Amino acid sequence: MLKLEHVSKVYRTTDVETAALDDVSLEVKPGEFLAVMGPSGCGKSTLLNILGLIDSPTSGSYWFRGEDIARCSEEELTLRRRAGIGFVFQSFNLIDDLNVTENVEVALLYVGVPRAERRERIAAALERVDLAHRARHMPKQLSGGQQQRVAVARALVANPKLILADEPTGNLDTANGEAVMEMLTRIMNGGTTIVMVTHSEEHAKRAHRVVNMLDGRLVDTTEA
Amino acid sequence: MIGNYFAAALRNLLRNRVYTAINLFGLSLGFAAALLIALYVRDELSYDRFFPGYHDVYLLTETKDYTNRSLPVERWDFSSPDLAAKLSAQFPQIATIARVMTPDDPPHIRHDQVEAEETDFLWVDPSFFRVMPLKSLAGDAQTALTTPDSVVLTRTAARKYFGKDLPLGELLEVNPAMGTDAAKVSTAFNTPHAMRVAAVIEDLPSNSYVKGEVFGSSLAAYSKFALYDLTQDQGPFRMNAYTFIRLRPGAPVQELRQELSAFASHDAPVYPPGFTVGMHLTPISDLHLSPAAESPISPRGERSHLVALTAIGLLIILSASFNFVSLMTARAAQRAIETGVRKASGALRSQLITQFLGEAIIYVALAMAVAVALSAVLLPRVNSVLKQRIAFNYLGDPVLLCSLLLITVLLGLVAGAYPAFVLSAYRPAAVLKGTLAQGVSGGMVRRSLVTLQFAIMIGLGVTTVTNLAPDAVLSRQPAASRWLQHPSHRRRLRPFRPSLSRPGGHATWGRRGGLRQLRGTPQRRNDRFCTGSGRG
Repeated sequence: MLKLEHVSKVYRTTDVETAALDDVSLEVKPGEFLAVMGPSGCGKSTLLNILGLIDSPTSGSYWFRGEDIARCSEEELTLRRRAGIGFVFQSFNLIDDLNVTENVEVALLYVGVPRAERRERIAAALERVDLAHRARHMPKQLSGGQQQRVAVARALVANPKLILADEPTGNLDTANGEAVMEMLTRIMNGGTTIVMVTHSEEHAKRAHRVVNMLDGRLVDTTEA
Repeated sequence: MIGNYFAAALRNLLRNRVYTAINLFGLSLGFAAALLIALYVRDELSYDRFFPGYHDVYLLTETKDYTNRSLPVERWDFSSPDLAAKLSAQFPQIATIARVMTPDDPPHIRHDQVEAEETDFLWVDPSFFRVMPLKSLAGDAQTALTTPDSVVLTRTAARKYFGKDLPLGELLEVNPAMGTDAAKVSTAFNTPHAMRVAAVIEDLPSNSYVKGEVFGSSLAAYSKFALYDLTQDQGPFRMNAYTFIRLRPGAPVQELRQELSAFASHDAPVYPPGFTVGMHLTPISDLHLSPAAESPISPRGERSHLVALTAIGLLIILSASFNFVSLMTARAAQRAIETGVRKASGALRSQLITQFLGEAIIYVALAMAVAVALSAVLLPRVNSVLKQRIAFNYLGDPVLLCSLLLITVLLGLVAGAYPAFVLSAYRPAAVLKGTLAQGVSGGMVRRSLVTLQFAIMIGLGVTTVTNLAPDAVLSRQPAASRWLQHPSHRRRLRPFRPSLSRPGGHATWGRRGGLRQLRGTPQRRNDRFCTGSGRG
């Protein structure tokens, strides 16, 4: 599904050069649930961004569904991202000016799904996260847990093969965090590959495999 | 997709009401000002193009070229009343010729209880409405004035004297009021006469060289033409007429001009020595912006003023656009998450640019709609100040409508381009993590735009203050200028001219263009007013 070979990512400013990833090699199999752990600043999010095609490695190879995309242009990455990847972020990242339905719809807009089918799929996705009754609400009218469930619905509505979750429970209380994890587990059980960055060992236990990172390198892998 | 874009744009507008109001109102105000300027400039550029075949119509203008080359060439809009008959007989290219005479003092007109000193009265030849065929509302203007005691009224004059639009066949009492000199020739020139309304025409547009509401037949025994005919023995310079010529369609104008030049040398009235007189055909449609001349029926426009006004209009639009771009860009950071989410969901940069440009065009279209409404509300006031009848019929004017649409789209694209490119350039990885780099929101560009905007506003402010100097008001206000051009007013103002031209001397004008207040001291010499050389 995903394969990184000797991937490095260096951020350069005029004075400073920071290595966010340093010679990382990693393979994620289809349907696998992978948790990435490590201290803040160790490169977890950079790894997730590269896996999600919203950032490019400085060196190394990245095989995305059997295709080396390390040297793809931004437009080529965008086209591969469409419908192939769903994102869940710590800070939810819902668009304030759109209601729940419209926020979920954003994931289908660029895939070319007809309007009627969009409506059906949005309704089904909201049912799955138990928010059908909040379809017309604006994000500000929802609790943090509800907002994250909307973000999960947005991530799964396009039926992506891969969902990337960057600390999805980081801003939630225990109950809401558990609910979100339950949803991700159900999605994974449906055959979707999930890569999740987390600080919670409890939540990481739901993954098939946990990799630990330190200073931009993979230092440890634990199978469930 | 459009619905999703529209929802995001509309709610963003509504969420930031104060910002939206400032941004849209600023742009609307700029558009409205530029639109009013554009309407005025277009009006000035389209003088005398409202009647059929205007391109075949010319005014016979003259130049007085002194033998003493140190004296400037004088330009006249008028010519001898005798010339029309001679020209008509000699030049077969001329289809119709008509003369117009302006009264020195406004005739006194009365109907029942309504009476007025009619400042918009003209004595015209019966052929006048064949040279300038204006739409008749009643009767036939082209033949109406062949009866000596007939008048043609505009709709406004008809309403003024009769209280209705079509008083065809009704009588109007006209006292030519030509003064004591004319009284010595005949009492008819200072007594009331019944003149029959033979036709009613639509009001002349304000962008017409000929300003008239009541047109009296030159054949009347008490007309100014009659006075001219009765005083032939007093020499060729006592009275002048405006001679309008309609050429046959396709007549070679250049050839006629050469023949006219030869005619001026050999067959024109004999003038005293010391100067030669040249005769010219000035197209009626070019007349308003041609070089200034002595005693025009209505004052000339200034091409340089139109250029300056156009530049001001463009600067206003530029300034309003800068303001719009600055505010749009400043708010762009608030749309960063939306940009990141859409990009992460597979939106191409080009799709985001299209979305944000579309939003900018909608913004500009809203501002334009407000500006159109604002202009429609303000135009009557502007017309009242300028004494014009500038029309703003955008729905019935395809050129204007298309121009407004084109400007809306173009300005939307130009004004929205920078915010659209800034927004679409956001890196999703950065914005979704909340680490958007500083400087991406275009602070430098915003600062530059605000600086330029201030520079433009200061420039416009200085120009406004400079142009509002009293002397400039006196010389540039069309209503004042027209008032001063009137022969009787010119005479009354002569004593004040030197003091008016000095700092502190000025005139202020009433709502109807009449003199309300005059600041300055008349010069007297031996208890008689003497003439000066100041403005007026």
